[in-house]
Amino acid sequence: MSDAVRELAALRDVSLPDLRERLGGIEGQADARYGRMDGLEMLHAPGAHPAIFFFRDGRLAVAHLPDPDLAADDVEALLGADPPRLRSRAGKHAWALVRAEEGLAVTEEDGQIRYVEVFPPTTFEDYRDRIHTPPPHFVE
Amino acid sequence: MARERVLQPTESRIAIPSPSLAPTSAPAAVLALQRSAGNRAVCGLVGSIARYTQAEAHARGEEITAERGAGKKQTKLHDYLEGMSQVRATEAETDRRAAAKLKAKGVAKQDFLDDLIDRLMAGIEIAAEFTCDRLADWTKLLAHPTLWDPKGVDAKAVPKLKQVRAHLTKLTRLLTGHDLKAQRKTIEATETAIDGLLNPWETGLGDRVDQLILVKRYTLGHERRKLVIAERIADKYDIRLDSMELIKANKKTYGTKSLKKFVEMQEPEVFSLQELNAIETILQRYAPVLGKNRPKAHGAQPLKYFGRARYGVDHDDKGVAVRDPDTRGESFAQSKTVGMYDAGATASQFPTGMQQFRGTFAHELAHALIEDVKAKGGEKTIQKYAVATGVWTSRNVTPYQADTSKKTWDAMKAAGKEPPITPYGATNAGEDVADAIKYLFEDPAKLKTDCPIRYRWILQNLGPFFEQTWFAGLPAAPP
Repeated sequence: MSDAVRELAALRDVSLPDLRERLGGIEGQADARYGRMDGLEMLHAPGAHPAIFFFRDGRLAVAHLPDPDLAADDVEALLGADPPRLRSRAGKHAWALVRAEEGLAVTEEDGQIRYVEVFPPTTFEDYRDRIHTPPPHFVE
Repeated sequence: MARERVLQPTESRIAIPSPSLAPTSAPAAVLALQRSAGNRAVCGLVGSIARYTQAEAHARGEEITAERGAGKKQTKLHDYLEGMSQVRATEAETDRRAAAKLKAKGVAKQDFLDDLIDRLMAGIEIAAEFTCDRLADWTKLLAHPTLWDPKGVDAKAVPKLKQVRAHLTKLTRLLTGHDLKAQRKTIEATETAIDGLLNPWETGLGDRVDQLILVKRYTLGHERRKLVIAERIADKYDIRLDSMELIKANKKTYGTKSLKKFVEMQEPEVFSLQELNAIETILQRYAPVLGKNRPKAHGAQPLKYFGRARYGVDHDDKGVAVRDPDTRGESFAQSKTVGMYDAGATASQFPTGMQQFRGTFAHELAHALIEDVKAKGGEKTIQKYAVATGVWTSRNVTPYQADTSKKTWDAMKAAGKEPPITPYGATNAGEDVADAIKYLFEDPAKLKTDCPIRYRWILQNLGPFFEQTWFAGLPAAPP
């Protein structure tokens, strides 16, 4: 697991006040949405941490790490062989590779890792129905 | 049967132009006028028609010179003589078709205006019949009902006629690939074969003499014009036009079906001349980040091929690759290929199909050339753009996310934010910037009015990606 992803996974159980403090005491944005979840609090302080954090009821719902320092070849080491996958709104050629039981999903497009998601371990179906956003019909 | 004098290779079917020489195709109305108005007035009219023909031959000669491009060098005189030959063949075929129209009407003669209309229509038919802009046009030409029919052709000329058709068949196959040298060689071989056929066997070919010259004028002339553009694009931007590479890119991305299946699903096509002109216009605007101009900091050029097919591909619900007639264009990062499809040349967001084509092409190049370029500090251009819009936190995150792109766009707007220029742009910031660039190219006034934040940011930050004369001429950003 890459350092950035390991560090992010370690924050899976962080509390909202703790994270707020680590991010320099920033105010979150209320009533944010992620996937099919709404009413979330979004915290993002790029100077302190590159990830975007979404909280619900004081607990981490999902952390989204854009452009992680992760090569396509590292993904198998991270997720194992042939993880379940879903098409992604990141692009027509993008796939979300999901290890929901480990609370981890990696979205790649044309050999480039677009983002990593860390969330409390759950089922693939729950990830698909709640955290994942279905892609549009890409025409361009 | 008495044979006409055989022309020598150095001779041409043309007469030395002279203002006093009336073309053989003087309309019947001129002769009627001669009877009614006397020779002096008619000589003046005939003289001006001859001068018109001469001017047309000059113009065609100039076109031929331009069409030759980097190919076999000829003198201007040769091109003029060839132009004269082609113009006269066109006139002769026009005469025949106009006469056939008259005959079909069952009248012996008609007034000047009707005659003119018949001749104009015949001219349009000829150009349409012999100009091959798409593969279907080539298929039609190769199945021409009279041109290739050996009936009535001198036996010695038949193999040569077949050879001309074989060259054209070969050329058609080459057009979906990028071997420009082979294309040029085959065009020249076809022309040589036609010339070889015309001179010694002229009397045994009937109307095909003129029709074969029309193949030179319209079919090969048109293809030469396209070839010259393809060569310029390869030379200036290091990009090849290759529709089979597009099919391969689709196969690599979408699945395990055979290449043949992808060919059947997608129907590889060739770019039309108008589309090639549009591509060149767009490439000129992106010139600072292409070919030899490309800054080292941008990394290797992510574009190698442009391809054209009738249809794109997508996965169905079971993950199987199927034809997708809605896809307008597509950028394949791994294959370094951009593809354009029929839907991208059909008016949907803009009033004309050609505007849609240019816009879609500019959109795809924005994906390939702008999005992932790292700015100073190592941050990607798309990330800087995303944050600047006020609606994206990163390329794929917005707090206004909803089930669909349209609902996301509505939520951005309802929150009092500036939404992307199109609802499709609310898919992710990559589509947002690509659609903004599409409108920057095709309707900058709309982008400025509807999305002033984006317009201002693009003008302030993306200048180095674009040709400066064009970029500086865009409407000023709002304060």
